Amino acid sequence: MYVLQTCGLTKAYGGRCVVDRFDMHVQQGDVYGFVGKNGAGKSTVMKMVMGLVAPTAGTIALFGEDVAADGDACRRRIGALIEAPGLLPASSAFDTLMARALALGFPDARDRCQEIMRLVGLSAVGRKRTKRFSQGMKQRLGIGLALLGSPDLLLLDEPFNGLDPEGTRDIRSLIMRLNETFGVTVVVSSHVLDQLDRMVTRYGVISGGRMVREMSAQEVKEECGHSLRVRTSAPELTLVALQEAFPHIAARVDPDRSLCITGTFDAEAIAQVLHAQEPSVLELSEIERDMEEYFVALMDKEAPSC
Amino acid sequence: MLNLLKSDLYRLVRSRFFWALVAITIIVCFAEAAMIAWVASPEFSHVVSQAAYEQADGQMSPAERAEMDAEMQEEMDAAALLDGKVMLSLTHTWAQAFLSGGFLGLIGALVITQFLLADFEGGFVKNVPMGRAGRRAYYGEKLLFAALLQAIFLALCTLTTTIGFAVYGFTYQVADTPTQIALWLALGWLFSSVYAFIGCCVAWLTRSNWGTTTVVVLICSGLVGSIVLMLCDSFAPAMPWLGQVHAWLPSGMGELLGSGAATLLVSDPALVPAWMLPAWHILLVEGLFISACIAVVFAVCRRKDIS
Repeated sequence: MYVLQTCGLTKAYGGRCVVDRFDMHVQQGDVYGFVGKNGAGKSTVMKMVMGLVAPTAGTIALFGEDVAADGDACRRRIGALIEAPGLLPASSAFDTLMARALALGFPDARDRCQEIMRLVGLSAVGRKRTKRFSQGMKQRLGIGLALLGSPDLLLLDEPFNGLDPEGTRDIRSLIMRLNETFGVTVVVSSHVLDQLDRMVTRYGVISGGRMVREMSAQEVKEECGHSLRVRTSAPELTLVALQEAFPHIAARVDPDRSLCITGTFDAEAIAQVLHAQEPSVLELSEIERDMEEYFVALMDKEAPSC
Repeated sequence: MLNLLKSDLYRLVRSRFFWALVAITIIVCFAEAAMIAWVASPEFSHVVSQAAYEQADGQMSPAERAEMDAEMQEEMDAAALLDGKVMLSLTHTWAQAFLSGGFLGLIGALVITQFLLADFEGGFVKNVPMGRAGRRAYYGEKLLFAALLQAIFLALCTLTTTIGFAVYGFTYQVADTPTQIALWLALGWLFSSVYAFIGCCVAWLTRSNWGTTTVVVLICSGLVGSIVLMLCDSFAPAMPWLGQVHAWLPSGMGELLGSGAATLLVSDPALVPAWMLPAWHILLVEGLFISACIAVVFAVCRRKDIS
C-alpha cells in the first residue's frame, strides 16, 4: 500500500503551471528523498498534500484513501514542516507546542510537549520566545511540532536549513530512529544530498513541476558510479539485444532515449555486440559521475510528457 | 472545534498584547469616570469661569460685564446639578463610556485581528489540518472565538465602568430593570461582534497586518460611518432613500444603543419601518451584518490557499 500517492496532480496560478501532472508514490516505511531545484514545485506538492493549497487537478491518496473523501482524518496522521517552521513569534517554544497539542486534543498535552522538547533538544530554552530563536532552534521546534501528533507520515521540507553540523546530525539521527524504530514513513526534501544519501531509501526527482523519475537508493548508487551511455536509433531493440547477450546486465532506457548500463559490465564486449546489431550506434561513452552530478543531470532533463 | 477553542484560550491568556489591552481598557474606563467626576465638580466650573474672567478683564463695558455674570451664574447652576453626580441610567453611562464612541469594538477587533494574523505570519496555521472539514472547523472556531472575546471585553468594560463611576460617587436618575440591562448587553455584544467579524474578514482577505489595522481603526472609530453618512446626506435630495442608509449601518446602531436601554423598547418614528422597535431593528441590522461576514468567511476566506 502506498502511504502517499498522487496522480496527475496539477497546480496552476493564473496561466502558470507550478505543478504539472505530478505522480508520486511513497511506500510504507520509506525515507523518500524529494529532490529538485528551487522553484521546482516541491513545497507546493507538500502543501497540496497537507490541504493548504487546493490542487487545480489530480488526486491525492493518503494511507490508501482519497483525500477528497476523508482528507482531515488522513491528514491528522501526518506531521509536516513545510518551508519555514510554523511558529507563534510572540509565544514561547513550550506554549507554541502546547497550543498545537491542545488543538489536537491531547489529554496529557503538557507531558507530551515536555517529551517533544527533550526529543528535539530544546528543554533548556522552553520558556524563551520563539522570535528570539536562532534559525536552527526554530527548525528544531518546527520538527517538534511535526512530531507532536505521533505521525505515521512525516513531510519535512528542507529540515536541515540553518542547522549546525551537530544539529544536522541530531535531526538526521532522529529521522532515522523514527523510521527504523517506529516505522514512520518520511518524505524529506533537501538540497543537502550527502545527508539524504545517508538515510534515504527511495528518491523522487522533480523538475519544472513534473516528476522526472522515482528510483530506489540502490539504483541511484549504481547509476552514480561507473556507467555506460549508449545512443542508438532504436534503444528498445538495443536493450533487448544486450539482455540476450548479457542476461545479468543492469540496463534501462532513460527518458532522453539513451540507454544507460550500470553495475558491472565489460565495455568492450558490449561494444562488439552493439556493432553487430542492426541499429546504428550514435554514441557510446563511459561516464563517471558523483551523486550531485547525477541529480543535476536528472533535474536538467525535460520531464516525460504524459 | 472545542479543542481549537481551548488552544486559542491558552494562547490568549499567555499573550502580552491581550493583557496590555486589558490594562488599557481598565485605565480608559476609570479615566472616563474620573474625567466626568472632575467636569461635574464645582472646582471645574470655578476654574472655567475664572479663566473666562481673566481673559475678558479690562476689555468689557459694565453692561457686557453684567451679561457675562449672568451667563456664569447659569453655568454655576448647571454645575450645581451635576455636583450631585447623577447620571441618566446605568446602560446610558455604559454606552457613553465605551460603546457609542467605538472603543469596545476597536479593542476587541484589534485583539482578534492580531491573533488571526499571528497564525498566518508565523505560519502556525500550517499545523492545523486544512482539509474541507478542517477549514470549516478552523474558520468557524475563530469566529466563535471573536464573539467570545467581545463578550470578555464587554464584561470587562461594564464592570470597570460601573466600579469607576461608583468609586467617584455617581448615582443614576433612572434604574434600568434586569431585563433592560440584559437586552442592552446582548445587543451591545452583537454590536461589538459585528466589528470583530468585519475585522476577521479584512484580516483573512488581506493577511496584511498594516492594512487590517488601518481598516479596523477607520471602521471602529466611526470615520467610515461618518463618511458614508456625509455622502448619503449629500445625495439624499436626489435619492431620498439614501437618507435611511445610516439607520441600516452599524454606526447607526451605536447611536440607538447610545441612548441606553430605556429607549430600546419604545417605538421610534425615525426608524424604517416605523412600527419596528429599536431593539428589533438593532437585532435585524446586526444579524444582517454578522450573516454577511460569515458568508464572506465561508465562501471566500475559507477557500484561499495558505502559502
